[in-house]
Parts: sequence; C-alpha cells; structure tokens
Amino acid sequence: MIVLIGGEKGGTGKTTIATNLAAMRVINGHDVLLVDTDKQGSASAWSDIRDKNNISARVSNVQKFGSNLGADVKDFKSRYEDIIIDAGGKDSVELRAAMIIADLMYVPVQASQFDIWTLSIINDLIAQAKVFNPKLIPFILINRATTNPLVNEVDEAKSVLQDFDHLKLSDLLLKERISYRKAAKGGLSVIELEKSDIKAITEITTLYNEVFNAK
Amino acid sequence: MQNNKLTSHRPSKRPIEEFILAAEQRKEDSDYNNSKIEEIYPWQDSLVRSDVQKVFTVKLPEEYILKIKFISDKTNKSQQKIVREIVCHEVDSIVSQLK
Repeated sequence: MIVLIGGEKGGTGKTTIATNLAAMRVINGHDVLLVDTDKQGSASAWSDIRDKNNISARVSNVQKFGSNLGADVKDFKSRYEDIIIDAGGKDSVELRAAMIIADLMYVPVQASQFDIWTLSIINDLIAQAKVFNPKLIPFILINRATTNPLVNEVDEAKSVLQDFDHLKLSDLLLKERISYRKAAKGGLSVIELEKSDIKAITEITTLYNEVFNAK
Repeated sequence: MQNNKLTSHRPSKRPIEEFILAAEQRKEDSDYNNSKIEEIYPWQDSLVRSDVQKVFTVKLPEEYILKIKFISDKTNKSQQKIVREIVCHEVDSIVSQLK
C-alpha cells in the first residue's frame, strides 16, 4: 500500500504522522519504506537518529525529489510491502507525483482558519489527480487539536470541512501532545517512549488501524 | 463500453506530466506575485521624507572614533558627515545586493 501524508500547509504534523506510522508498521512486522520528499529532510533526520541510537525496529528511508517520484516509488513498491510518503507542506511536483500513485492520502490540518483556507487548493488538486488515479482515497485529518475541552474549534472546523466534495473527513482526531515532540527528538514513535502516554498511543494506534485496516 | 479502435499514436503521458509540472508553474506565478508585493520597501512609503534626519546611536571601538576624528581633521569634513556618507553608501550597496 502507498500512503501519502501531504498537504498545502506547513506545520500541520505531516512528518510526525508519517514517522509514527512507519515505525509502527515496522514494529508490527511489515517491510516499510519511508519516502521523504520534503527538502527540509525532517523524516530522514528522524530515521538517522533512529539508526544512530541503534533502535532495533529499523525504518528504511530514502529522500526523493522531482517529477519522477512516481516512477521511483513504483519501483520501490516491488521491493517493499508498504510505502509511506512524507510530502512537504506546499504544492510541489513531488506532492502531485505522489498523488498519482498513492492508494491513501491523509491531509493533516489544524482546526484553524489558515489551514482550512488551504484546503480548497488541495480539494482542486485531488479532483485533478483522481482523473489519473481514480483509486486514490483522500482524507482530512484534524491534527494538533487542543486538549482543552472547553474549546469547540474542532466542531466548527468539522462543519466547514463538509464543504469540500473531494475530501472526506476522518473520524479520528489527533491532539497536540508533548509526547509526539519527545518521541521525534529520540527518533522514536510515541509507542516506543519509555514513559507511555496512553492517550497519544490510543490516538495513533486508531489512526494506524484505520490506515492499514488492521483492526 | 471499451474503445478498441486503432489509433495512430501511442497514448500520451502528457496530461499527467502537465498536472505534475503545473506545481512549478504555480510556484513561479506565486514567486512573481510575491516579488511584486516585496518591491514596496518600508523606505519607499510615501510618508517617508528624505529631509527628515533621525538620530541613530552606534557604539564604536575607541580606535574608530579616533580614526574618524583623524579623517575629519585631514578633510575638514564634520565627523557626522563622514560617518553619514560611509554608512549611507554601504547601506545602499547592501540593500541593492539583497533585492
């Protein structure tokens, strides 16, 4: 399966989601390649820290740029069970090329006006990409939601997100949690942290199960 | 129903390539638009007056204070004028490189 984590906006947690899913997939015994198409190389840096710290569940990682990404990933597909693509937070040839070959696409957004404004662009891009890749299933995932129960911005965002005809809103919700940052620092996924954050683990596991249909 | 008629050309990949490469075009358009916006610099604001002089205090090593005084003595220019000319010239030069 080819899973694309992408979007038009930076800072929405794409790399956090991609790296967590990749590590969890490896831990669950699958052969996974994490493809980093973001020139910032955060996913690759995460993978390097992992190797440096000798973490046993090794996540293979490659950085790929340019419009030939699709052909490269198709080649990787014959060698890996699953491919997770972390596309940078902007409209790019890499993002578009990945949309042409992906099975699933998750667009993380924060429940903020600025993030939601970028979705009309993604909605249009998905409409175009689906002409070439009808099997693409795109989801919006609300990420970094506030843990404050009194703030109802998520409900507000959910009602606005229904306006996009090519984007389906995932039922899942990932909240802003310090453990994601702690894990990233050590090249880990949240399920590998020594001090478990049960809430974060539950959220990311639910996402993992949805993505890989591993319920 | 499938269309099995013979065609004179191979199916073209062009539409996919066009879709992918359109991201570059969009970026160029965006860069162009951004550069248009960035052309209006703060000092180009209509309210900025060239005849208004404001004080800007700079701490210099004592050695340079003495050098400025030396230039002033040799050229009969005020220390203010010497420093102003040097600073304005260098600032314009750096700004033109940054544009």
